[in-house]
Amino acid sequence: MKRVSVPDQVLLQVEKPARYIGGEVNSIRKDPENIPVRIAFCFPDVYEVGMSHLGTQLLYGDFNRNDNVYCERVFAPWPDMEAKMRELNIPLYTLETFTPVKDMDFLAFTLQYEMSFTNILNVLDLAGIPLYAADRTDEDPIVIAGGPTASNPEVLAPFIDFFYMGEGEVSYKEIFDRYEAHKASGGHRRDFLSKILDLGPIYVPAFYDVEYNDEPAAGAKYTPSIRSITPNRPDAPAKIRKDIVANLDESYYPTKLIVPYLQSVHDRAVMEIFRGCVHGCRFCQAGQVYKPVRFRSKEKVLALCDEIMKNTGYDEISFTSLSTDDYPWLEELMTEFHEKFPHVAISLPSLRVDAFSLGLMEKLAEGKKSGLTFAAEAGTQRLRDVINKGLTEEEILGGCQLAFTGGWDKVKLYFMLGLPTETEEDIDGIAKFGYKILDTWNNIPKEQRSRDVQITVSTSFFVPKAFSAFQWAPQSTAQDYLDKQQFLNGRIRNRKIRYNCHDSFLSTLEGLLARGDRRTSKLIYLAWQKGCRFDSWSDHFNEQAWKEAIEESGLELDYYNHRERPADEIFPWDMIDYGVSKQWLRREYEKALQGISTPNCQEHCSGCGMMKFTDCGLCFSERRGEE
Amino acid sequence: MNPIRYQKRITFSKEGRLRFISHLDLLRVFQRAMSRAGIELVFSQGFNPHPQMSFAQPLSLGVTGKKEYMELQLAADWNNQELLDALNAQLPPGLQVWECRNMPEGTKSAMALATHAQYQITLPAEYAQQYPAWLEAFLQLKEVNITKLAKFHGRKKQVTMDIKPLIQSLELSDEHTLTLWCICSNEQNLKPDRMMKVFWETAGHPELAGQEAICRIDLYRQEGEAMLTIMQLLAEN
Repeated sequence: MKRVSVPDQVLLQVEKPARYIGGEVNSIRKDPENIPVRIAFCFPDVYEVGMSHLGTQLLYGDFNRNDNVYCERVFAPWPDMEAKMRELNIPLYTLETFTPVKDMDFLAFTLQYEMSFTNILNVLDLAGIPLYAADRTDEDPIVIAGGPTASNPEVLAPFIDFFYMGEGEVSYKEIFDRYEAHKASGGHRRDFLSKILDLGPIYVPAFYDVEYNDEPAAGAKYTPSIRSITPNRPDAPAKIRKDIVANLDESYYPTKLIVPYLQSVHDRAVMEIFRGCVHGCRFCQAGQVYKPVRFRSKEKVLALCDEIMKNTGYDEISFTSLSTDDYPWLEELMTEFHEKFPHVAISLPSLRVDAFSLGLMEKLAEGKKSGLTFAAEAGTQRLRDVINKGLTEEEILGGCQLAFTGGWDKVKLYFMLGLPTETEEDIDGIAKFGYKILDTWNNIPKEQRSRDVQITVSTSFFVPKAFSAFQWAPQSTAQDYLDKQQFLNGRIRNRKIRYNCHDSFLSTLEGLLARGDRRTSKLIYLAWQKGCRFDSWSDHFNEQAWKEAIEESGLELDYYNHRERPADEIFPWDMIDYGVSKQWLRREYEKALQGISTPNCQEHCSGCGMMKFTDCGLCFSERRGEE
Repeated sequence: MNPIRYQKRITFSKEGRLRFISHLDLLRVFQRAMSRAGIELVFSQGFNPHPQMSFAQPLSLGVTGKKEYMELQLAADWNNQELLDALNAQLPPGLQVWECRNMPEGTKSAMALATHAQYQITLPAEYAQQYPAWLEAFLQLKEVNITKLAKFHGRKKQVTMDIKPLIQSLELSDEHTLTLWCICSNEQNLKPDRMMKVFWETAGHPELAGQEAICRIDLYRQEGEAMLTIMQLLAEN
């Protein structure tokens, strides 16, 4: 078996060599000799980021439960390592056995954000695998992609052999078993793709033809919209259905989390308490693609925590989900966990701030009072109704009041600029919001509040995403973004309120990649050729190269980003079925424009389509309860 | 009132690919291994409590260590052998603990005690014939000047420093292995990779810098004429 040798000197000359050595506690060692299915699993970013991703750890553990499979990890080498690898012709290798990635049967990418796309091409290139699927032979691994950002697979279509839609715990075992049989019967690797089409969640871009209209789309100068997306062979399904784990209590969860040597971005144990989200924020993609809501029982969570803490030795755990507040047994869970593991700190992302949570946070932080974070998203109630964000100003101010009297002194607020229907009043509302929080602090008697206060107002730019209710919405131009930013900056004039903002061009680009189509793929290729990689790292983001690539690609921003898409437009991702109907999303979009909010799924079913699509999850059990 | 503490001095080796993890990473590896092994450490008092665990002079990245020192304050007493076994069961390949002794109340830390270190430096075999002459030339140098970045009043500045006085002895122990005895204390500490850079330059082969494999054999305290390992300073128990 070939083993890539990496000279010590190389490791000594690069930053953080522990990124490239593997061998961490709980990483899986198998004898690769007699294992028929070899997989390289790649999170296309630097090691510390990838290792913080629960999905990577979950599928790694799940795949490796099968004796006929060895799943190993690979990450995007940092530019200093890349330079060394290119200079010395070191091929990209897996961290477990240092096997060249090219020698694997599968290379599976997880797509978590658009700005990782150039890294995917770079990983393929460093592995010596042809970038375009059409150029690959039986000597190359089958290249897979999945994850939430695969919900619009089209911008990466020419580079990927097949996409897996939905939750990987469901069908991968069957895919690998079939692959083993296929290989044993002497089948060619490239012929394998047709053997898994019946499974449901498999999208093989090469098996679909896309046709375009003759005339440019309204609002575009020269780019026509899509006329049709059709399978070009009878066994390719017209609709690709995402896979869903029916019952979290019965599904696999990784209790032997790999413990990195390096401090990873989230350097703690992770416990997923539920999947899906009851809220219907209209800008949110995750809320739709992770439907339906499925809870893991408190008993199961605690039992898993027991094993996780024993296996990892972490001193902190994070209970994750899309909205932690909605976990029905949160209070008991926290209390019981704390009794069991008094020395383990708990971190709860996206927690509502009220008397209970503050008391809890205080207890858990053992005196350390870090900042509080509120995702208000919009500056006025009107706009919060438009985006269906069910968080009111009173709730936030009430939370701040409690926090300040409890000794907290840092508050961070997140907003989006460029939301549909936004006016100057809404932007001004963001500044006013900051001042109201300051007033709240000012109005508390000195002896009852923290000594000083720091309020941070942070804005990002709204980017419409596939499968969100705003998938039809126009995205602001880069110039608009800047104007709005400046306007807001001019309204915040107090040393206790700090203003942070995102890069506007990056958001334009993200939008282009988020709602692009097969024609967009060449942009990624051009940008990669110009040396773009690690685009989500501000010190590596090469704005000039991307601008040139857009220019050369001929992609029209007015078509992809700035026009409102008509109600009947065929989207590049229309062949993908995430269970949420396009009609419902459209209804949500129209209600948004009228400023009408929709109750969350726990209060009232609004008929998104999920109940028909599947027979599991919250909405299903609620319905059964009514019957 | 301070809780009762059980202080232990432990030797460990750091080898193989673990030579590429930093000192801070090493700290976390031990912390987590102890947590998995059920070894409870005493936490420091104060605003930001941290487990009471200390190390002697850190190894440079890429340097292996045969006998490194770690000192622990445990919340409960452990049999020394059981402690070693429990810890070894949790350590990743490349890290291993070897010996554990009790530290009586008031014992100084390994960090404070160490004065010297012994290193073994393995050189590329293909130049074996030249090494006696190259070593001779190196030892003839009046000064061994290295440059490093040092902090002055918070600003980083390039400084040149003569490290010759820190070298106690340097000799060939076989055809292509150097044995180095040098100062390694809280105040002064020779970094062998820096010394070797000058060695290769003096030999006219600067491109060989980094080709050597450096291993720290042990840490010592000079007491009169005698050189005692840091572990030997404690009674066996």
